[in-house]
Amino acid sequence: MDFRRQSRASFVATLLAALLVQGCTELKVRAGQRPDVSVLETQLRANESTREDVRWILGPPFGQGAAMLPFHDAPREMWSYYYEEGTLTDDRRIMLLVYFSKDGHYEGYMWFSSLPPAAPAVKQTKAADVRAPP
Amino acid sequence: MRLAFVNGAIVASVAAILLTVSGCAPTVAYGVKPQTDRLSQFVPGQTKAADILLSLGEPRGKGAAHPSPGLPPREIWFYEYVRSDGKTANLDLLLVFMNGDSYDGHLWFSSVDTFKKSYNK
Repeated sequence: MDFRRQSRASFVATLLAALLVQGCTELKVRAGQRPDVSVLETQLRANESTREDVRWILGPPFGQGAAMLPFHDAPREMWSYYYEEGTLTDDRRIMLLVYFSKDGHYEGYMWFSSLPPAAPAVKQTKAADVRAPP
Repeated sequence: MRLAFVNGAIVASVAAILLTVSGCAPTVAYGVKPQTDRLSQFVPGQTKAADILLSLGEPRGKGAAHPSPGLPPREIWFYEYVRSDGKTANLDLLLVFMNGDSYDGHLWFSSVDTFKKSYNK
């Protein structure tokens, strides 16, 4: 009887340990939304695209800030995008900064990423850009 | 008989606590610490990509910078090192700006342990 209960307790302990180990190794971290950086030179136009265009094409920013870089003549509004994913064995991220001109147009960007390259995204189209055939 | 079952339950609890403490919150590190002390050897326009690879190693990622239409775009080589003990995380980030095959500049920043200690006093 003692032996049976001891065995059952050991079994429970082992099972619990196995479940916890498996749970820990499969722990996944994910934060933010991954921005599609391929649109920065293809769909967005410097000094033409507006904040609304940027929000439509890239999505809402993760954060906002300002930049006064050495080549700027005045501080610029800056939007930041951040995405991170990882496990206990590896963790990678992408950060994208988007700069706006004084009059509120898209001016440029800087991004860096340790994520593997993303698959090409499906091009987003504004509802207003969809024209009925003649 | 009852004692044996209690012992088994204690073993299970201790195992769970140990796994929770040491298994789910281990010290982890990702990437390689950037050798920022070697950046002073680089000369814009003269140091080549191969020299940077030899000095800093393979970057962990890439990127691009085109902050203003009046400036030419630049490729970025991204180096990062992250370490965490489950309570705090420290980060070393280095961006190396490339103009074609040549070094064009860099930017790095890092969380510093001494700051954390003074901040936590």
